[in-house]
Amino acid sequence: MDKKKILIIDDEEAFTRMIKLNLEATGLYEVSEENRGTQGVAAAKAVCPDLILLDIIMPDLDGMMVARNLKDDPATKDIPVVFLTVVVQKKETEGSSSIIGGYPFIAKPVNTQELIDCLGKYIK
Amino acid sequence: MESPECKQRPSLKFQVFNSPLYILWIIVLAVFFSELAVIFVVNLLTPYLRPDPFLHSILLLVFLFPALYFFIYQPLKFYHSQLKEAQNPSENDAELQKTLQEQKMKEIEVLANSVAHEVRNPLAIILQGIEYLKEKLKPEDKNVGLILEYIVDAIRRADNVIVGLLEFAHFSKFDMAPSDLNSLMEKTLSFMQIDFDRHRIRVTRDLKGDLPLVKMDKKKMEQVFVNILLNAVQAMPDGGTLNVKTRLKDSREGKRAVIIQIEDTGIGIPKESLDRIFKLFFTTKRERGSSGLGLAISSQIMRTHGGGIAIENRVGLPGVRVTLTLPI
Repeated sequence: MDKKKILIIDDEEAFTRMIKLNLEATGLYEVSEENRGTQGVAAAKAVCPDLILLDIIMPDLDGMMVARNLKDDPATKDIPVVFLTVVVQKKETEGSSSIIGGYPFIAKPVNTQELIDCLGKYIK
Repeated sequence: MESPECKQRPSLKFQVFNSPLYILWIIVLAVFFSELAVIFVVNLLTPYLRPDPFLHSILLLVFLFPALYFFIYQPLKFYHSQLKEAQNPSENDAELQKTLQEQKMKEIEVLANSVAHEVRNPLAIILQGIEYLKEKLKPEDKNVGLILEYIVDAIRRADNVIVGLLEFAHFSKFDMAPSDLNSLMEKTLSFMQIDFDRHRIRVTRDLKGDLPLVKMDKKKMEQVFVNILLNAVQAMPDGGTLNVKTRLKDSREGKRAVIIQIEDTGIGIPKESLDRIFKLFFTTKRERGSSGLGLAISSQIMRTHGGGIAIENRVGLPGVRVTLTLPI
C-alpha cells in the first residue's frame, strides 16, 4: 500500500519532528515538515501531499494566510488542510462543527492515535 | 472597543432640583447675597441711579449667578449624586460595571489564549515525545512504563487546566435562546446516569411542569449542571440520594425567576472552604485531579445569564444544597 504523504507546517520544530517520527513509525505515512508558513506553501507545491497539518499561530505567515495561499493556487487548492490549534477545547473538535474558516481542526496536545483517526477522516 | 473610562456618564444636570430642600437653600442664599450686594456694592457702583432695591437685586442675581452655580449648585449636585449612588447604584453604574466586566473578560480571553499557546505547545511536544519513547524503549523494567504513564497523566491534567481557563475566558461566545430548562435538566441527568449507577446514587426529580422558557445558552447551562452533578457524585463515593427540583419564583419586585435546586446526601463542604469555593483554582480535590475551575466557571456562567448560584451545607442533614437562579 502506498504511503500517504503528509506535510506538517508548524513553527515548533520539536513538535513537527515528533509528529514525523510517530506517524512514520506506523509505516502508513511519509511526513514532510516545515517550520515557516512561506516555506510551507512552497513545500506544498513541491511535495503535493495528501493532507496538510497546519498550525494557526506562526511568526511569518499565519495558518489562515497559508491556507488562503494554498486555496488560491490551482496546484494546491484541492489538498485537504487540517488546522492544529491550541486555542480550542477538546470537545469543540469532537462535533461535526469543528471548523475554523471552513477547515477542520484538531486541538493540541494530540496523541498519535487521535491524529491517525483525523488523517483517516480527511485524506481523500 | 471603547474604553469605559472614556464613557461619559449621563448628565446629572438639574437633578439637584428634585429636592425642595436644595431649592429652598439656593433661594435663601441668592436672596442673602443679593441683599448684601444691594447694601454694600450696588450703591457704590451705581451712585447715579435712583436707589431701587428690587432692580438692584435682579441685577446682582445676574452678576452672582456664576458664583451661585459654581459654589452652590455644583457641590450640591456632586453631593446629591454621591448620596444617591451610595443608597442605590444607578442603572448607569450597572452599565459601567457590565462594560468593565466585558473588558476584563476580553483581557482574560487574550491572556488565556496566550497561556494556551505557550503551555499547550510544549505539552504537545512532551506528549508526542513520550509516545515515541514508549514505542522505542519497550522497557523490561515495568517502572519505566509506569513513569511514562504518570507523565502522560500529568500532561492531561495540565491540559485540563488550560481547557478550563479557555472555557472561563470564552464568555463572549454565548448563544442565548429561549429554552426549556426541565428538558435540559432531564437530558443532563440521563447523560450522567452511568455515573449515578456506578456510585449507587438514587436520583429523585421534582421538576415543575409548565415552566416558562428561559433565555439561556443551553451548552453553557448544561456545563453548569454537569459541574454541579459531578461534584455531587464525588461527594457521595459510597452512594446516596440526589434530589433535583425546579420551581418558579416571583420576587417582591414582581420579577420572576426559575429556581433549580440540587441536593446531595454526601460529605458536605468544610465550613472554612465555603467562602472560597467559587474562587478560580480553589479545590479540595486536587489529589483527584480537580482543577478548581468548575464552580468558578459555573458561577461566571450564571452571572452572565443575570442569575446566580448559591451553595450551602444542608442544615441538620448530610450533604449540600446548590441553588441556581435564572431570571425570566
